[in-house]
Amino acid sequence: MSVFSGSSAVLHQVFSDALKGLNRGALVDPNGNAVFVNSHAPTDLATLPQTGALCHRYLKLNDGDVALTNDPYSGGTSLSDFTLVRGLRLFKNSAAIDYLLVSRISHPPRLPFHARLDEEGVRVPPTPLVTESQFNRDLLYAIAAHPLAPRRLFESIATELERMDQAVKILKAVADDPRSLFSAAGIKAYLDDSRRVFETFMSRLPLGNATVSQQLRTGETLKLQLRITESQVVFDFTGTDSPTQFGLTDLATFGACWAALVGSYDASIPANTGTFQGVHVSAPTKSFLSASAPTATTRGTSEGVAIVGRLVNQALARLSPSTQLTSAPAGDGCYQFNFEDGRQLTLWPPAGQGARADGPGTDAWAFLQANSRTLSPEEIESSSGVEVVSIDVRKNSGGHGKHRGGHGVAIHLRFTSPCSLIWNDPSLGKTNTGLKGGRAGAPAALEVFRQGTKEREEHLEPTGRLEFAAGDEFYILTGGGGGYGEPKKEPEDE
Amino acid sequence: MMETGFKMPHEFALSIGESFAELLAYSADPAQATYRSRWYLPRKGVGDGLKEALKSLSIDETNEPSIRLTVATSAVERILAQDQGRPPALLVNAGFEGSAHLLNQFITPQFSFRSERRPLPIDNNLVFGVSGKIAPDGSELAPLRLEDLEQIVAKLELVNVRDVAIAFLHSTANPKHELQAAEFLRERGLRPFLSHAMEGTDKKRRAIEAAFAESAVIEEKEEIENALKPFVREWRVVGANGLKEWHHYSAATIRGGLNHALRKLASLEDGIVIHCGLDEFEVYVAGPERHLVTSRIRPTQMVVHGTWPFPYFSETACDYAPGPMLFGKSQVLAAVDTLFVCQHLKEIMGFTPLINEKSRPRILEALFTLAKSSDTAAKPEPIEVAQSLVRAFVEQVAVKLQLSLHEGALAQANSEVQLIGPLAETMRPLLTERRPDLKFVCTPDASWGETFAVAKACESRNGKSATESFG
Repeated sequence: MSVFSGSSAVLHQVFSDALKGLNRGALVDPNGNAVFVNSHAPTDLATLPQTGALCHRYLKLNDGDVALTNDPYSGGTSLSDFTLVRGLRLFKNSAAIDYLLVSRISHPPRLPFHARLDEEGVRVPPTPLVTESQFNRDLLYAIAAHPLAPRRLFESIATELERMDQAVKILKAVADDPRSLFSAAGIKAYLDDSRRVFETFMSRLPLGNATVSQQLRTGETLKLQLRITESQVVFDFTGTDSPTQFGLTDLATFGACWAALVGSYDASIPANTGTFQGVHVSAPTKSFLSASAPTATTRGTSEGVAIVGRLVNQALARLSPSTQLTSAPAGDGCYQFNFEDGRQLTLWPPAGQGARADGPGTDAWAFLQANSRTLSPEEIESSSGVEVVSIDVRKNSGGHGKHRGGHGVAIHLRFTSPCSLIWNDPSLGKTNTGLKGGRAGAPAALEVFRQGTKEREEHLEPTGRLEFAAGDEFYILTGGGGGYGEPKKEPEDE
Repeated sequence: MMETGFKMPHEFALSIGESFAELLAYSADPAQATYRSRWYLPRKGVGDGLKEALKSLSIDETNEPSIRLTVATSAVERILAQDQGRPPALLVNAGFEGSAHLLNQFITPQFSFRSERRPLPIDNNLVFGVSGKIAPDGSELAPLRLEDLEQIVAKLELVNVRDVAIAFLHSTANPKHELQAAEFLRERGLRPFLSHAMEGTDKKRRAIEAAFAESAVIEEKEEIENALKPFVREWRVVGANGLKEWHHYSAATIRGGLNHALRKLASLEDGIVIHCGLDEFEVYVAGPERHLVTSRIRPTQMVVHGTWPFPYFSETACDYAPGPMLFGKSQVLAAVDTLFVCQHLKEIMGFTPLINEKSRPRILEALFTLAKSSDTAAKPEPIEVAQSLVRAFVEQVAVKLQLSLHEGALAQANSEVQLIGPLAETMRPLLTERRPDLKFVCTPDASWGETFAVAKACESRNGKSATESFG
């Protein structure tokens, strides 16, 4: 079928439908060109295609073959994220595979964060998992049995393989239609149209340069020079320090920049090679934004992405002030509860978004990961030895202003069995300042009430460990975003 | 718009869509209907349409009540889309008054800094916490505090709210507290909607939406009753799970009823059935487990210049009131307008008379404006834009059809694909051109597929009445 104006939108819908069962998925050509990336994680945008290409380059995947890896330095993100790459021969006259289907599975990270990659988990280089329809269960059992492997790894990968089967079924069915838009010409038109979407987006951006920098609490200096020309957006991180505490791969940094760019302008842009071409990221070799082995990456792919994203937003705001977000909690905290019976609960409670120059901040919003960090009390209770006493918006936590900062959340837990908690939350105790007269948001805090006492323990350390007995109560109060602009009148309690 | 016959009918099949209602009156076989009518709801209500039918059929109060009425309705979908309901009260576990809001997914683009959650049709002042708790395993951690409910009922009386959604934690594991609260509220004249009893995965939202729609649904039900009461001996409504007795006519039950009826109709046929409705399109798949592949495309899907460098369908659809541009009153260009200007739209009883021929130049003008804003080197002619949109419309249906063929009907790829619904005749040549390897068939009654489905909702494959789903 010949392509027509509109065919790209239809094809985009086909890919969305096919990959919707995969939380973090991509369709990639054998050279690593992204046709379609669907993920809530900015770090996946460029790393999923790269993982696909590297697995195929090393293992020469055939139709139906599946490779497994979690190596951040083979296109991955962190060792808790396992990626499956499946070869796809879609067209009857193809001699080899046409595309690669890539899917990434998230597991809770190992807390506390470590400085070296080999302490963060088991490292699996690109490894054949399914070859000529034979699923190498023994290999997967062996990996899953490693003491540093995520819990229930075997089950999660087996489930993901089934989800990929479903996606493949849809893609093959569509490709089997002799007049399908899913053809070489259709894909070329799709990527060309995507490129034009991005060009139109760029035409709305202000031209110019902006330089911003930030000193991290871990000591590193982060520098960014943003250059927007008519043909490209360049993020130049020259001057950024070497890693001391955490690292991001250059491809993960690219994803953070791309996502913060389109997010700052609220743009709906397909993520693929066509739209990636206009963005260039230059991160000095061996800086913590272009880390190499053996630098750990887990902290970088969570906290680091938010830091880079905020710096990008700051730089953009120099050129177009309406995009500016006020201060908000630095990165989402991660709380990991380990119960005596072996169960584990990991929470990423969202904080309040900083107010924008043109509107209020959103309540309970995870920076660049809005839809992946929701809190379901039923899921929390079903998966752990904890009773959720309440979850609600943390009233009055957003900074007052012409535009109010988003409120954080207040989570009240009561333990029904003993457990230990490890957390990493850089926002604890940190005030989120307002802008242009806007008031600060409330800082994040942790509170503990031991059973039988009325004394309150408060914890504001960004990392820590606590032991709980049954009956103890624990509050996580996430921070509110800063307000923007002078408020018309002082706040009253809501 | 109607057609009349001669024989006194005993069966009324009524399907109420989002903007059009259809009625078939027949004695034994809906294909031999003595009366059929499709009318535009913004201009003529359900009750008025029914009264007109009675008059045409010369049925008056001298007749004995002899009609069996079967109804399927999209009332809940319409009320939600048009925001015609009334915010209900919401009961949750104490401590979770704000969590319903927090659980809603964001609907803004991925990575957007202007995030908005999918709204819930509730008033935050009417969200009440009730003490009591069920554990994940279904055991009772704390009994329900009925004293809390007393206070809530008093407040609801003050604000004159009758519909109450109840969404307690772990109610699917043990609905005891929801049932207790419901009994308490019913005894005091309120209408409870229990999350554990709802269809689908997002049960809490479903309960809230049902409670929001209930008052308008009851109005529609009473309109039907007022029009037909002296003449109907048996009243039935199609729910998401099958045929129900009339007293089940509520927003909690009827949602998805029309869809169930169409699925049932498809199960009586062989091959693949595509429903080409005025509201939406669906493809029903053959095979041992008949299922539905819903097409995202709707004839009222708005055409905008959005993400893509060419005009395309937006995520949202417009209503038929004031309607797409072809009715002559609206400025909103929709998919059905492009079918119209490309001369694809066939005669549709009850719909065609609403079309204002003078709208054609205005639609072309709107397409011209869109064409001018295309980010393409060559600016297309307005009619070329319309043709591309029609192709995209057809292509979306073709993709769903292709998936359906693979889902279970591959062996029948050369068999007939049956088209039903008001837009069936419009779609037949378009789909035939797109898929020349398949044969698309419209029966003479294809346009009345929805109401046929309602009529057949109680039949099993062997033609007997499927009373097992009754009640």
